[in-house]
Amino acid sequence: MRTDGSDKIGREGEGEIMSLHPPLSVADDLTKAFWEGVKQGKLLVQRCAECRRYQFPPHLSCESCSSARVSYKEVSGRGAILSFTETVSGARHPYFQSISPYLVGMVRLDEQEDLIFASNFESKYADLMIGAPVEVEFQERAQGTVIPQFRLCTTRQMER
Amino acid sequence: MSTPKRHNAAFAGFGQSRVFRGPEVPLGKLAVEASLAAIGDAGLELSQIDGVVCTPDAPFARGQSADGIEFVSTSHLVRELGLAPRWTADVPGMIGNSALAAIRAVEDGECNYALLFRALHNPGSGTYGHTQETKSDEIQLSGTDVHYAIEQFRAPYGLYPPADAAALPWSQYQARYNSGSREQMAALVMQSRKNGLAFEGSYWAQYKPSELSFEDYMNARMVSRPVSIFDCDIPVQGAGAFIITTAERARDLAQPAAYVHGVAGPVPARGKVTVDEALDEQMADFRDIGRRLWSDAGCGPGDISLANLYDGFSLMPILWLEALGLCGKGEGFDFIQDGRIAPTGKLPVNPSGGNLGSGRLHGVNHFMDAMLQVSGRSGKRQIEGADLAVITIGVSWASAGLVVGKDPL
Repeated sequence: MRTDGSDKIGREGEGEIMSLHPPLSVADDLTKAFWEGVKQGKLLVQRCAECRRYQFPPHLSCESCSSARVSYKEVSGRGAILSFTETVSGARHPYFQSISPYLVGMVRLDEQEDLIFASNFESKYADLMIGAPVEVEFQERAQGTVIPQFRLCTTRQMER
Repeated sequence: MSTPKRHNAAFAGFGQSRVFRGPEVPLGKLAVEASLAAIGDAGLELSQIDGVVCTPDAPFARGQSADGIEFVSTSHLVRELGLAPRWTADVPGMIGNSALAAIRAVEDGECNYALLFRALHNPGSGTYGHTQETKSDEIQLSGTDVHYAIEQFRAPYGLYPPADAAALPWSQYQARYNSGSREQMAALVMQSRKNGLAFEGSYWAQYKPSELSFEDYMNARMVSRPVSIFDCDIPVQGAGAFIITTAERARDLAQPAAYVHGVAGPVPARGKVTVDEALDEQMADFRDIGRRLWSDAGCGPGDISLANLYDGFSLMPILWLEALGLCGKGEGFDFIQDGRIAPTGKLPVNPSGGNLGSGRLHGVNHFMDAMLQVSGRSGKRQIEGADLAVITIGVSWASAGLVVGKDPL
């Protein structure tokens, strides 16, 4: 578990120091199980009982075969960097302004090529590579929330 | 190639408002300005306008609060102009979506003269607006925040434009094709600015009329690597409007028209973490538009005299070039070199500047240029032999393609 260190970052606002933390996700009926899984250290992704395909983000039914028989299954959390960038300027949220430059990108899970998650990376821009293997970890955020993040894994061979 | 569907529609009038870099003039007023200009250009009376269509969306969630101020609906414009339409539609997406609706409406006889307008808000900050504008954590937790739906999987990571739509696919492109450096991209961005300077309605022509040098581009403030500030179109406050009518009616109007040869509408977006997803996903959407467009128009990339390719971010026209088959896969960055896309080149691209060279009116410039070029009305920008033009708009769910020509079908 890594923390975002947000409680150490403050900002002058209306005469008082406000704590700055990243935007928080608000779960809905469709995504509640996903966020509950994340809190328990599990990466849950919808899978279709009929065509067996995974899908993320969650949907009411299977995007491939339209079956309503989709339910959350735990996935390995292993994948590879699909793409990345370093946001240097122009971040709109004060938290991201305060930590700029920061690395953000997308990760493709091993289970299925179109299973794509956003992630930040704790690395240097020059050291990141598309295709580099990553694995999920769970990051504590403000107000007791947890989000999945992906870290570079050093123990696995590159698969792509 | 399947037998093309015969279209019966034409673009027959154009108008654009003044443009600003701030919200000092309400958008409703600018939409009225543009609409009156378009109606006048076609030589029509207000009473003849019996269809009104627009895409009212601002490109960010919190921009739309007051009709006539930050966005403009058809009902606002109808009231302001005192129109009595028998057909109206407020179509989500981008201008391509509403243009296609207008074309279908006149072809189906829903109306005779459709007024299509697009009015776009420049956020007060003068910067890109998007869904992460919210600054109050209370709001974020109160249930009224935007980090629902897809944003719950993006916002916590600081993933938003131009990182998602431009930087991520560009990085992938570079890795895949060993092409796509900023040095190469400079050719397109510099040419777009140059083209925009020749268009009197361009933000740059009006306020900062100087070309962009290679050094300016290379030294530009980095936003999300490799995307710099000049790889993003500049947000402006302004409006554009068009008259769309049947081919027969267009012949009787004040100006030569641009006839619709083919159209392709947007594809429904699959589940995506980002709006536009990465390179493969964006290219799949663009290719799908291309395939259906050439089939509907009954022509191909080799028949086209010029291209107006959507360029909200500089990578997009390069992807469109490849997706439409105007150049080979992975060859887009080579294709844009050596003046090939200049107005005098083999395939002029965005001869009036597009978004990058004229400001972010979300495709108004692309429709305007294609329409005026094929009808021989581009004045000093006129490209000789511009008989057939392709227009592409947008990104995935808001994408569209059109072919317009000098001659009716």
